Amino acid sequence: MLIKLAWRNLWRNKLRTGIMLGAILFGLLGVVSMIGFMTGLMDSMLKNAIDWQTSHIQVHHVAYADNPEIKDTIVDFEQLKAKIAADENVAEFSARFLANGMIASARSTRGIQINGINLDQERATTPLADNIKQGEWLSEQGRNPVLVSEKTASRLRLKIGSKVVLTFTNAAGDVAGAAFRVRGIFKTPSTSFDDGNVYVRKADLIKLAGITGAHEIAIVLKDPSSDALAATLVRISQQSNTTNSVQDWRQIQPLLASMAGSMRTSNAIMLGIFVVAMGFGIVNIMLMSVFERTREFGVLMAIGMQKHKIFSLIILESMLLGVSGGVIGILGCVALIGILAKTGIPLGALAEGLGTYGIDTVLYPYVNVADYQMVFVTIVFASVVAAIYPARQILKQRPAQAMSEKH
Amino acid sequence: MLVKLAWRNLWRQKRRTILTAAALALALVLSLMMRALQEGTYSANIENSARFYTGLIQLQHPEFGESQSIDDLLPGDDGFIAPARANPELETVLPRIESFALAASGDKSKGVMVLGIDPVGENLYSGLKEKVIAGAYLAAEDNQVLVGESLARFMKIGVGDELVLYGQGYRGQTAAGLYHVKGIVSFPMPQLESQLVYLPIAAAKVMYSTGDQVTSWVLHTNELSDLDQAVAQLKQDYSPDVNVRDWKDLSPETAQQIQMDRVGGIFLMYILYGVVGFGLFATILMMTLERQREFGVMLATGLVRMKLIGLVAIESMCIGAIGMVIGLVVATPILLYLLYNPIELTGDNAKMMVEAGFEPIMPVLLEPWLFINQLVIVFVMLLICLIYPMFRIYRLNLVSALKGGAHAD
Repeated sequence: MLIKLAWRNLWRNKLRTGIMLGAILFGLLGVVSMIGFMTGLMDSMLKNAIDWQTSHIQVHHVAYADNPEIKDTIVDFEQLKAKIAADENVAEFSARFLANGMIASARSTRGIQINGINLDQERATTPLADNIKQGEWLSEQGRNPVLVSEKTASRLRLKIGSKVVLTFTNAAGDVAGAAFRVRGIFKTPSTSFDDGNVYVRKADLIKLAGITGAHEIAIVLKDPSSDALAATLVRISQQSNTTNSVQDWRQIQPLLASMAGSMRTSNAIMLGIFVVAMGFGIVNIMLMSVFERTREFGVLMAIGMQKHKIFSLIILESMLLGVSGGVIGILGCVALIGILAKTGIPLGALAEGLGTYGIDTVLYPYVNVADYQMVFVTIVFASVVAAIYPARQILKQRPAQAMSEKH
Repeated sequence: MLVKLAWRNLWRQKRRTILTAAALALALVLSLMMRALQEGTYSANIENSARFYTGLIQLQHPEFGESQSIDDLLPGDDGFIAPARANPELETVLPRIESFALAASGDKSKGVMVLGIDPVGENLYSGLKEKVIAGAYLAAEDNQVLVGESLARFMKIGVGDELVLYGQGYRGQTAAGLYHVKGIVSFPMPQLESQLVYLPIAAAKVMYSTGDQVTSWVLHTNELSDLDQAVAQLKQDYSPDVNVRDWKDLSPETAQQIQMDRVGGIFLMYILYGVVGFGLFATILMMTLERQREFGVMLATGLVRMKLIGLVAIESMCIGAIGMVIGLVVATPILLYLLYNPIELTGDNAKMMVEAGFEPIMPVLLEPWLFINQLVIVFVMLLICLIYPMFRIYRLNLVSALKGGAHAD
């Protein structure tokens, strides 16, 4: 009954209600697309970091994680490898032999991490094999092939078939090095990763290093949800020697994890600010609509409508305004985000800036259902709060006074 | 007369005027603070990364940008750099040799970036001496090195230890040298700090066998705003044998990150003003619609229609002005406080900033254009809000207005 009355009251002044709905729609579109943009950036960053760099879980020697030295290989590597391969939740893994050294061409030199990889394992674990821009993926044929990034290739003026010299300190502490030929040129979404990594066959690197084993096992899980991830992490840690450290991607890249967290906070703050701004608008609209009906409320009071009912009536009007605005706004947002998620937002002009964070250049905004819920609840809550002041103002009036009000 | 009338009209609806102005003030305060913080952080970062690494402007061999090769050099003599030194907009002119080498000490080795610097000039420019946390700063004739703190930790070397640098010199010659660590420096750019080795430029010239040539000249303008003009002048002086690169070209990552952040901020700001603008529009429209009868009377008694439109415009402008004044009164002290006590970030956010190569403080930039910008936005918004109400007054039908019924639409 009260709701029906409130709904009808709301539409007595269509223009005004329309303006307010417009304001809510406009504001929500802005905020939600911003949230979608941020979430899209963050998703792209996390996904690329996990796909390319950290995988879900990594195993290192405890000392290697702090300070990468070639002698700190994973303890009991063969046994651990067998156990990891047998684990129920492990989809793929790649054992890598790493060395920090330099890459030199006739043209220039760069400091670099040399990744010695098992070809089949790496192909299954990271998207590297599918992102060779020129040339081809490593194979067992030929002497000392190497994959370099586009960035390294242009810095060192390398083409397919060019010769480069890789040098590093081997396990005995001597400088070891050999000539390699560029077999392929790759590109990942992260510029810093591209800057610092080349790939060679594990066997070639081990031959130079003078020790065997591996420095890093990167594991991709079948079920990467946080519960399954934690359980798998515990299982692998238990089976591994205690001088190995087993970490999930959050521990390897704590900054990424905390960035995702702080994004949620900043989204909430952004939404808060907008809702306060809309709140001002709603207070204003409700004040106008209440005070131009002072007489009407006087009559209602005089004929015996209880004060709390009038109070609820005004609150309901405002709440319905908020609910309609919220529904229209969210429908609009779903449509907008839906379109943008299909087409993507091309950000090619910002490729280098995005690349430092490892973000793709086509962005697909994405908004969680939870975010929509948060937006809706906040806007309705704000509309209710905004009505309290106008409602209290009108209830202060005495019926006789209110009825004699002219405007 | 009209102004007085408008002012009095405003206070017929005290609550509404104050609320509308307050919403406007809120948007103004938030936008102004956000923009001032953003621009302040950008300038600080540009200065910071310029002083410690790239400089605001660099002169390089046209090929050097792509190849970073020690073969692509510029003359290092006074004759070559004289036009830049003569340029009044440039406050700093420094020669540099920048190349890569494998650093080895004991059983550790790492690819590092070697910066051959003029110790005195570089210190004046970046205050590098202050960043020495152990040992002493370089002197021009030293044959010793300064290393970054995280690099020293990785290599397990301290002051006085030996460091071997080994790399490629000019035209294929071997560049190698044994140096003692004279000092250890620490600054808030982890990516650099973990791979930087400073060497006096004379020693670097010997090591890389470059003779009197350098890889780049680092230049800095008096003010950030002089940049474009200085670059244009340098291009005129040095083209086409020399590549003049400004910081946007030298570190496109930083430039684009700033661009992205700025666009995001401005987008949010416009949306916020948009939301407040709807409120303002509602107020102005109600202000005209609920007074149709009054307007009718005024017109009937002989007020010119244009004057009536002027009246409403002045009323709206007054609301805008009140909002601006409240906004500025609230924002200015906060901004002034922040100017002298910049926000220092702590915890994860601080780590994030440091990791990204930024100092974990958020200074504000107070420049007139930031304020003017906001005021212009408010003004334009007011004008847009006025169009429709003006149109309504212009088309106001005297007779039906006098009868006074039709409120809204």
